[in-house]
Amino acid sequence: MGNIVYDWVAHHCENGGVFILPPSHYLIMYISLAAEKIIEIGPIAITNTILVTWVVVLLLSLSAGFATRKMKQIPAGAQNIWEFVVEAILGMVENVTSDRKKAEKILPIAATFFIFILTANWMGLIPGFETIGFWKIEEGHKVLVPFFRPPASDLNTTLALAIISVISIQVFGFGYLGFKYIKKFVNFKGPIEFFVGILETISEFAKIISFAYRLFGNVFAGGVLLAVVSSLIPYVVAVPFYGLELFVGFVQALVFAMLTTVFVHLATLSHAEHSETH
Amino acid sequence: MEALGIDFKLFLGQIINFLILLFILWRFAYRPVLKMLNDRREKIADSLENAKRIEENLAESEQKTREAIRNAQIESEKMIENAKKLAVEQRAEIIEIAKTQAGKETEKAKLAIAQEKNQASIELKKEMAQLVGLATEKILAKKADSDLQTQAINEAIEELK
Repeated sequence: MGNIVYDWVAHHCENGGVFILPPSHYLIMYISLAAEKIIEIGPIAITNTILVTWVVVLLLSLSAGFATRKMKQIPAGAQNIWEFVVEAILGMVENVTSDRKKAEKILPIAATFFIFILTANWMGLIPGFETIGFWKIEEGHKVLVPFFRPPASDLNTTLALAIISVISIQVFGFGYLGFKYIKKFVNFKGPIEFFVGILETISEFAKIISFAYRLFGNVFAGGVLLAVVSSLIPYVVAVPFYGLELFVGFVQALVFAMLTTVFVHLATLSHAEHSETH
Repeated sequence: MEALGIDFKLFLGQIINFLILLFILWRFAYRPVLKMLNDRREKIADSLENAKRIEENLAESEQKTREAIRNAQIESEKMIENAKKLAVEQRAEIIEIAKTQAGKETEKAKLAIAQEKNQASIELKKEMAQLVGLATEKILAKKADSDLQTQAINEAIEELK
């Protein structure tokens, strides 16, 4: 049966058709580390991860706009959900900062990380997500180019998020401490302080790498795992893996948001306070 | 970099996408929701305080009512007590008055009786004097004259006096 379907796919593909097929029906599995390009608009190539990012941004914006269009003292429906989400994240941030004012300032960046990454990751688990696409000949093999791919399985996305996170850490640190914050990195008090400053600088860059690769690695690996399991045994067996990926998607979103919160909080503490808390 | 799919344009695009989302969520989710949460928090705190105040007021007014009732009770008891005392006093006074009145009446009666007795004795004496006069006249009619008679009578009356 597999062969028949394969022929059918091959036939239509040569005519430039588009197919919706479970992954088990194509036997050559092509895993691309880079996000696949779908269309090119002038000099900008739109990849499937960018497309999904747009969908996520649009969905979240519409949901938020709809939920808070008419705010009521007694919440209902979408307003309730958003209030729950915001309050829960605010609670977590407040746990870290133990200062509501500061928590309210960190909330937008931490909550957006959490909500965006969680939505993007879970959207990748919708059936057909990485299996609806078009066929393309690449290096002599016929490969499926999916229309949708989880944004976090693209290094561009995770690097972008990591850069934003690290920059916001610096902004908060400078905003709270002023030029004292810069002393953390550039310090001529003595050779030890100078060397510590260099280490601190390196660690900020290391944060970018660790943020970007942790998220990318987890989500990409999850996608590959699901693809492999589904192509081996297409029915039932993949279900627990989907559960696992739901969990991983949540944990990664939480880790990204929480780490950002903790780093921002640490950056806003002066050296005296810093040593006090340890 | 090429193999990892890192492309500066896409990277920049994702930064912009995220910042757009951040702005939209800040504008339409975090800001209104935080405002609402804080408002509600304030409102709840206010209402709790109000409830506390109302309860306090209620307790206070209850206390006042109870006090007023107790005061009224004490007052009425005092009034009854006073009235009783007054009644007893008045009774004693009335009895006293009655007694003195009775004493006076008795005295008066006694006086009247004494007067009557006096009168009677005076009248009796007069009658007696007449009688004695008559008797003496009868006896002396034969033995003395009228001058002697009157002299004797006068002497007798003088003696009687």
